[in-house]
Amino acid sequence: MVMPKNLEDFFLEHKFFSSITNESDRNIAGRLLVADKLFQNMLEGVFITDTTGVIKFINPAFSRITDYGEEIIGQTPRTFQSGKHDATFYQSMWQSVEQNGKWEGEIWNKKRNGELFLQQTTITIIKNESGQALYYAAVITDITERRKAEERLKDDLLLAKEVQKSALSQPIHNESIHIAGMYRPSELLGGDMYAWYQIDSHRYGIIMIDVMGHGVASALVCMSVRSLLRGIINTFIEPERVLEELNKHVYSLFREKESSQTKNYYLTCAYVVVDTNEHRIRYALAGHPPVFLISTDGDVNLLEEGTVPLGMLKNIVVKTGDHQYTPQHAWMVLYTDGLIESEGKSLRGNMGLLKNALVKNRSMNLDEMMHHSIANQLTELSISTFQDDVTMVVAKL
Amino acid sequence: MLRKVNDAIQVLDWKENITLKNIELFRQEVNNLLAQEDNKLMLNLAETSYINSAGLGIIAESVIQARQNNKELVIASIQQSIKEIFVIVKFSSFMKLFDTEEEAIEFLMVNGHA
Repeated sequence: MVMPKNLEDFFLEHKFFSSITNESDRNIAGRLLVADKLFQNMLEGVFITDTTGVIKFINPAFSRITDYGEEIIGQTPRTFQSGKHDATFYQSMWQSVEQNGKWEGEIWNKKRNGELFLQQTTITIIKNESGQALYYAAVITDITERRKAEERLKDDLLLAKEVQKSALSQPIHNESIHIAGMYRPSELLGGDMYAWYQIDSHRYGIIMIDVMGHGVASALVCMSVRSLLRGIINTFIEPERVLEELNKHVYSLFREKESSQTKNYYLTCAYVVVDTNEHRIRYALAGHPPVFLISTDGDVNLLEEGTVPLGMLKNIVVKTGDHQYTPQHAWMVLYTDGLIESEGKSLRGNMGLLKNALVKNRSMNLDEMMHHSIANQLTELSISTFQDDVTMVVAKL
Repeated sequence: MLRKVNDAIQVLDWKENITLKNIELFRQEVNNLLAQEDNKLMLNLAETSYINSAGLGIIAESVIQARQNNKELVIASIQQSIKEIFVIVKFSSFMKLFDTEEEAIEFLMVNGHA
């Protein structure tokens, strides 16, 4: 390979040092030597053009990345353009260099063998003492492999999201109850989940869980809890016992491994047992926002009894609540805090907004009722998307 | 930085919201508070209007840990927005929460461990 042009030549050509006679000149010479060593040995590729865009200097790393040697000198960066970006892209890039003295971004370029690669690029303008532009310096890194790895991870997460979605219960619709849910994760994977089970001929257990935090770890904690729900709900049925059992599981999840560096995970949850014969619900919350029980005339009961989030304390005391409902005339709504959190606004206030929207939309079918109420909440909170996962379950009793 | 009140109470004044950015620092500061020899401890949240879930966990665990070591950790100067969070997570069921530092001091001086 032809060796790239040496930076020393550049300094010589520009007569940066001719005959070194005094101390300050010797310092300059020292600095230039350091600069040259860096330039020759750095991992990032560098090419320097004059103000007309003609390449004047390259370093060895540039040649390693692009396969171009000294033959590129005298040409312009257009030689390695990939054709993937339009004229506007380059215009705005140069505009930024002129305005801010710098541009940072990603560019697809082409190696000498025609292979395209993604290049992380920083372009800086080099000026002389009077502020006149002399050169443009581009520092480049090949990030093609990193991007591929990121995309593989993204695909894996998408798959995991599908698995997670498939674990959500399907709607139940019969003459005594209609249950439906909606789930919108904020990131690719979230820690929210809902499920419901028919316990016997006339009882249903409905649960909503919000593992604090987001991402892969929260989703895994969520799935771990999910795997136990059917067993726990069918065995213990009553809210007090179900929450106690879940707490035992979550509390011991990471604490048993003494060497483990993992932080503790908590979850909030709302659990309700509906008895469609007695028209009665029994419930308990664990650090979860109140459940709404809406009647046909628009009255709303806030169901707030319960305990602390699960996994925080070894032993919990669970208070349960009990309500009668008028069949065919009651809606019960469970949701996660993503729907009522917004910066600088009160949780209670936001809860009121959500409650009003649900009351207003209660004559719609359940999916529409949830959809419109969530959309309304976005408008009310003046945000475009929710920061947190958003999950809602409505049971028409 | 800790502050001592009435020559008996160690107070941690946490000066900002508790978020992902400063959660580890918060953990360290609270651990430092728990490590003090005094058994009357106070976390003053006068300048905090938001606590993330990890922060709630640290507070809950610290209160329990203090109790296990025969100490009392109370939370003081709780703003309205924090109070709303504490109501939902039912913290009042197992820890002492006060609107002002004065009330917290009064409680600790009368009821705190000797």
